[in-house]
Amino acid sequence: MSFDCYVRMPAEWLTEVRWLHLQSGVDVDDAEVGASRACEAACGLTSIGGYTEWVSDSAPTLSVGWDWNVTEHGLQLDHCSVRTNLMLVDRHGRDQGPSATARTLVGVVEALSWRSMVLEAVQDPCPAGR
Amino acid sequence: MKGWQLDQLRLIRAATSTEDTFKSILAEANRLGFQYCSFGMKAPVPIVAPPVIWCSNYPAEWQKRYEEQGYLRRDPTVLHAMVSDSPVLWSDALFAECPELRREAASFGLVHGWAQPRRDAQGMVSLLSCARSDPPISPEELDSKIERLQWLSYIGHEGMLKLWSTTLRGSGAPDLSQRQLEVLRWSSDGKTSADVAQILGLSEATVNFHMRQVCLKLGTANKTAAAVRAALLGLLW
Repeated sequence: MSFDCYVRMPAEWLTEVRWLHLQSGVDVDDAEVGASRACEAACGLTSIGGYTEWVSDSAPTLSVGWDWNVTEHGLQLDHCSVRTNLMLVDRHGRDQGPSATARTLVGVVEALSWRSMVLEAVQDPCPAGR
Repeated sequence: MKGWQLDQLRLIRAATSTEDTFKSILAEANRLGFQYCSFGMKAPVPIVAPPVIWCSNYPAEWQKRYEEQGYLRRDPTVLHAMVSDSPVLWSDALFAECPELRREAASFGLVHGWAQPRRDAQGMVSLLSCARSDPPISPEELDSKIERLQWLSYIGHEGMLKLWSTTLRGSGAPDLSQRQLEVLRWSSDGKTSADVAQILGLSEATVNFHMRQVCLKLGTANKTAAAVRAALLGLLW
């Protein structure tokens, strides 16, 4: 029998999970590059992206994170980047698989006010975390 | 360094056992969408049968089968790691010379995988493999996750190295004096004892003496083997 680090849960329990913002960041290596890229992004020349991590207030703690990009429509979630320690199981207790779980979480995440939280976090020079 | 990289680095550095370190690596591999993960490391010497340490959460039956069949010597991802630092996706083409390995692995749920070799200046080579049953790894998904996967390979190497290096390298890198290193470097470049003596302003007898000491410290029978071993151990730079 193999082991893993997933926290298993039936999909129908997801509605009861309360998600809290943990941390967010912009994917730049230094402030100067960030500033110049911000200017370029404003002129539509390139894009700015980052990451965000959220956790549940339950035990064991669930975590979900994803990457985001700034586009003309605002902050967009990169569906392929969703990462989580959660593994949803079906009514027989069988794993739905990491990809199916991630797809379900995209729907959950999109219902969160994550965009405003991320913007607030990346603009705060001293982010307080949760 | 980004926030998430620092967090992961701290976690790995705080781990004090192979189990805890591997658990950290596995947890991140799971988060990135891979049910299975393996991490292995090999020493540079001896060349013919270097010591290897491996850990994974692959099904126990598969691990047993892998060892019984001697797949380590034929696994194309392992062979790739010996000659390249670039990551590799599992595919039928990659396993063309060993299709039975791919078939058997798939029967245990190890169908789609990604592997990243890493090597350091002392010649230690590691291989991180992340695998799952389904679905295939799309180019878009890999593009999204490659940075995190490669960082995982880097911190896995650092984390396991601190725990495994003594076991893998035995007594550790031999302590060669500056003069011994000089003599060895010139010798590695093809210079004869007479040449080295002239270059360093020594007698040929002194050069030969230093070379004998080098061979003793490196545990080799001759200066050619000493040069190879020293190069693999990263001592000549």
